[in-house]
Amino acid sequence: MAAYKLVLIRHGESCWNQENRFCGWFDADLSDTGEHEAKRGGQALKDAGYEFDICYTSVLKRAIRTLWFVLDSIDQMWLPVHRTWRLNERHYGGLTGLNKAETAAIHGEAQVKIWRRSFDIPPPCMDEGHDFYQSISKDRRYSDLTEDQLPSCESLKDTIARALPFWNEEIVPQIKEGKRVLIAAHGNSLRGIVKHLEGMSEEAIMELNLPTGIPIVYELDKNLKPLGPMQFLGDEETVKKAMEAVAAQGKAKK
Amino acid sequence: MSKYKLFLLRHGEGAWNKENRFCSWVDQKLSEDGLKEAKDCGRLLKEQGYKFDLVFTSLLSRSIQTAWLVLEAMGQEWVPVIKSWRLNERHYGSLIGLNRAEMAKEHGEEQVKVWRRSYNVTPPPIEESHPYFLEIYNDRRYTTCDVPKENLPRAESLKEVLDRLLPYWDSTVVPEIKQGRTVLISAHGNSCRALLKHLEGISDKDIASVTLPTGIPVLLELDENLKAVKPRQLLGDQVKIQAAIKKVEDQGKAIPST
Repeated sequence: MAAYKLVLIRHGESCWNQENRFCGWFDADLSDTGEHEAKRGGQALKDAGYEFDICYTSVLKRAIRTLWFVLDSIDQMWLPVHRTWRLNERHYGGLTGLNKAETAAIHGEAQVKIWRRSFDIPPPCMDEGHDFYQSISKDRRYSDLTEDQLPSCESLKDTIARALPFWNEEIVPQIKEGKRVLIAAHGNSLRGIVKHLEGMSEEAIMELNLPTGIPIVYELDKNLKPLGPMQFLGDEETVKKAMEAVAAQGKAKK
Repeated sequence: MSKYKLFLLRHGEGAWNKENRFCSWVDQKLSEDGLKEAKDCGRLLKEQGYKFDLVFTSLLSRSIQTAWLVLEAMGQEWVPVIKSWRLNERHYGSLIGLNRAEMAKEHGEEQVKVWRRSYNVTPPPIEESHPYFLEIYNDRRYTTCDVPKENLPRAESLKEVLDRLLPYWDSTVVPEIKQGRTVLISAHGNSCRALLKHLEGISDKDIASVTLPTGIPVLLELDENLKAVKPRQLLGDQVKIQAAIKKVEDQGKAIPST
């Protein structure tokens, strides 16, 4: 029997996803599709009768709004919500705003491949001349971050390194107190939690793409070890598709 | 001299407002009009360039929805939102769910006037037999409060609203304001009125005639002791504000509760 249940949800399509642009810390909003995905995710949790005690999300609107749609669907808008930059999406540095074609044109296909396949090589940094430097690095929401904390670019390793302290210091104690936790965040920050929970290798986590807008459920023992693989919530068709998509991603080795 | 700025907002229309029924602690969501009111309010605050650091709401969905829509319109979804029962709407006891006509029929016009306009007369408490009793008291949110569920109110006068709101204001909101944080309180007709009474020093008698229109942000400028230094300002287009005031007055003839 599971001691604890944890639910994660990765936000759906953003306006920049539609344009195939590296989003990272740019505060893109959900597209109509993304809103629909969030509502559908909320409906899945409602149908399954989930109750939560506390919610966590990033400081980016695409994750926050996803959480809001979910809380509205399950009639638990009154739940406490903690927002943290540590659950933000990976910071794509100088690539922020570029689409796939532009990136390849500027940096060459080979370099892009290296970045894609590396766990610890960061993209080029976002410097003061970057289009989004002011709107991201100087944004009021990051005013409490120290110079060391505020990234100008991140590898996946960096993202995980700043997400896990929050998981360990803030979220884990709540779970151990018996609080039922819902985390609405991003592909890479959630990868950090999943990698940690399942003890996955760097290669394995890079191969894993979490489905969007679908509640991901972990049953955990009292030491917070998963009792089984992640479960997806939703109608049969949606869940089947999500499971197949995950299974088809590379050859994940633990 | 004004040292701090505080914003209050009374949420917009819920389904029962249209029917002129006391919603109180029943957890209704905003109607289409109420959603629009919240979005318009957010747009206005954005146009005027306001930046919030912290938002406080009640535990009732309509005040939370309002806060979310305002933050969304302003692109400030990341601002922390803290929720407390102590900002809930006034608890109307056994009058919950009744409309004005029903109330007058059951209790007489004079008695209804006293309950609505007096500062410290409490309506009859809600009983277990009341159609909305279980919906309220079985709700899990009331097991998360800083008082045990059995000590939560069964009915309140406006004074009793202030009695449970003021400690929260003092312990939780004031320290934030004093640290220079720009705060928005997204709440209800009577919880906003109770707070205004305290901040503006309005008498027990005069508070009866104070009404806040819905969906119109109220700016209070406060001194270092958090007392109002000038009359509250209703922000936005004057025509719109007047229309909003009239709407509330028509609903209950200058009675503020919804």
